[in-house]
Amino acid sequence: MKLKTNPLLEDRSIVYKFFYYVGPILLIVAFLLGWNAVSASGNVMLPSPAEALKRMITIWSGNVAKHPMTYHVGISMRRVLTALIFSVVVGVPFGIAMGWNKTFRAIFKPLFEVIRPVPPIAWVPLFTLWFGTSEFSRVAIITMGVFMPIVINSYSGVIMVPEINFQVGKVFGAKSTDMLFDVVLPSSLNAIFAGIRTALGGGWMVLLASEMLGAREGIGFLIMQGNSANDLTLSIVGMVMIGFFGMLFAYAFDYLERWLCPWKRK
Amino acid sequence: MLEVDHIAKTFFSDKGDTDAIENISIDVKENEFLVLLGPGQCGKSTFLNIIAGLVKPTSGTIKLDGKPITGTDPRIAMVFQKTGLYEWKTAMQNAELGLKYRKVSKAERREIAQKYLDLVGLHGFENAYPHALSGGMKQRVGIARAYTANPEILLMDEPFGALDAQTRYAMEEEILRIWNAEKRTIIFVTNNIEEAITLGDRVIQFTERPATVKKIYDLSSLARPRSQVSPEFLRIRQEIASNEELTLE
Repeated sequence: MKLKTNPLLEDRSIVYKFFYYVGPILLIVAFLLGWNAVSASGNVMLPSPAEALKRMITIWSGNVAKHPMTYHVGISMRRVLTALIFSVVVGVPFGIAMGWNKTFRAIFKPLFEVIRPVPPIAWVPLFTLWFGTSEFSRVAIITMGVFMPIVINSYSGVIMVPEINFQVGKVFGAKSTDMLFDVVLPSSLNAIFAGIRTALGGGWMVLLASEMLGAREGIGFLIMQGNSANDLTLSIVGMVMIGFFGMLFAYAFDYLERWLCPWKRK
Repeated sequence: MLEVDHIAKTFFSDKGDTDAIENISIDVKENEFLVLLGPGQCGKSTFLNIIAGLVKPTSGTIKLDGKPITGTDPRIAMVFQKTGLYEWKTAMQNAELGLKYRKVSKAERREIAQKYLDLVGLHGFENAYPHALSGGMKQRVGIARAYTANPEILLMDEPFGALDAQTRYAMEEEILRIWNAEKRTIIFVTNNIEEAITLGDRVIQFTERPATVKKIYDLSSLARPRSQVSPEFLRIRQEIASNEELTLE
């Protein structure tokens, strides 16, 4: 008897392995070449990758909109992360409770379902009225965007736990708390992480809207600034920043998930 | 000793009621290898789930050592058809499950689980997660998990049903070896006649749904290991097959 190994890499040719590792890089290079070609053709207004890079270097080495770039990046990240951490800390237990406890579900699900379809940006007028164009307002709007997918995924993770997992628990004497923490929670981790990933994507989206609320700093603000000052390169630099840090976040979460779920490592 | 007394089960639903089990009474002897044989979907798994305490019977009682049991019981463990291993736990952690939930200290449960992992032939695979194990190895963990819970009675619900034929034969030999080393009462459900004759001290043949006892075959005089081509084996096989109701659904 022997253990199974990674089927993606097992018994594959050198060529396959080469593309497995180098393929993603080739695709990014192709994307940049395409971007460059569109820009060079002159048919549309689009700064070339080289221009964007040059601009990025000037921005990173000096100030933009009165602050260094690290300040803009840092403050945007802080906004998204604050909303995310709050939503995970409150939303995951809330979603699990809704999936686990029938009474809790009966009480909270209807209200939750009414609030859920309201786009996060629709809260802007209310929040501005209540909290002004403050930092709190901005984080609150992002929270409206990330909270929902986290709750919904935690909830569906729990209600989709296979029946056999409960049967096994019962036969081997699991109490209610064993069932919740030793069976339901690990069974749903997959769905919970999927929810956090979706939430993160949505978070960047709402960030932009939130930084339209009288912010004087942040990546979203820079993109809007580029728009109003007819400075397309600045907007593109902002987009690249969101793309890059969004990717870093996504990979960081992959690692976090692998660390929390060692049974998934193949 | 396990006494099954006039068990019946009807599933009630809006679309109409389904009689799954009709009046089954069986006495299971201590350390007996009892096989329940019946066609697919006949209600034998439901019957096993009733003994396990996972399903409530519509009528009838189950007594263990003279006292009625209601719900799951630490003296009864189960090996599930689809293994039911927790994929987030290692082979060792899966095997320990019953003792963990019954608050046995970590050192003690590790020692007992190790003993049974060794017995089922998984020495060296203690830290493997189920996804890395083959179908046969997973079911070995399932058997070790049931034994580690230290039950008087082991229920096995078509445990080898999902395995390929070769692995299945090997596992049939394995379960006999394990049972010989650690005698327990085993109630083994299958729809495979050869498997039933190979394993059972007694084979109880069920009718199709609603399940009830059709015939009981006492094979205790048939020496083990049992060759599947011996005249005696073939004679019993013929007899059981002639009583089997073949149905297409």
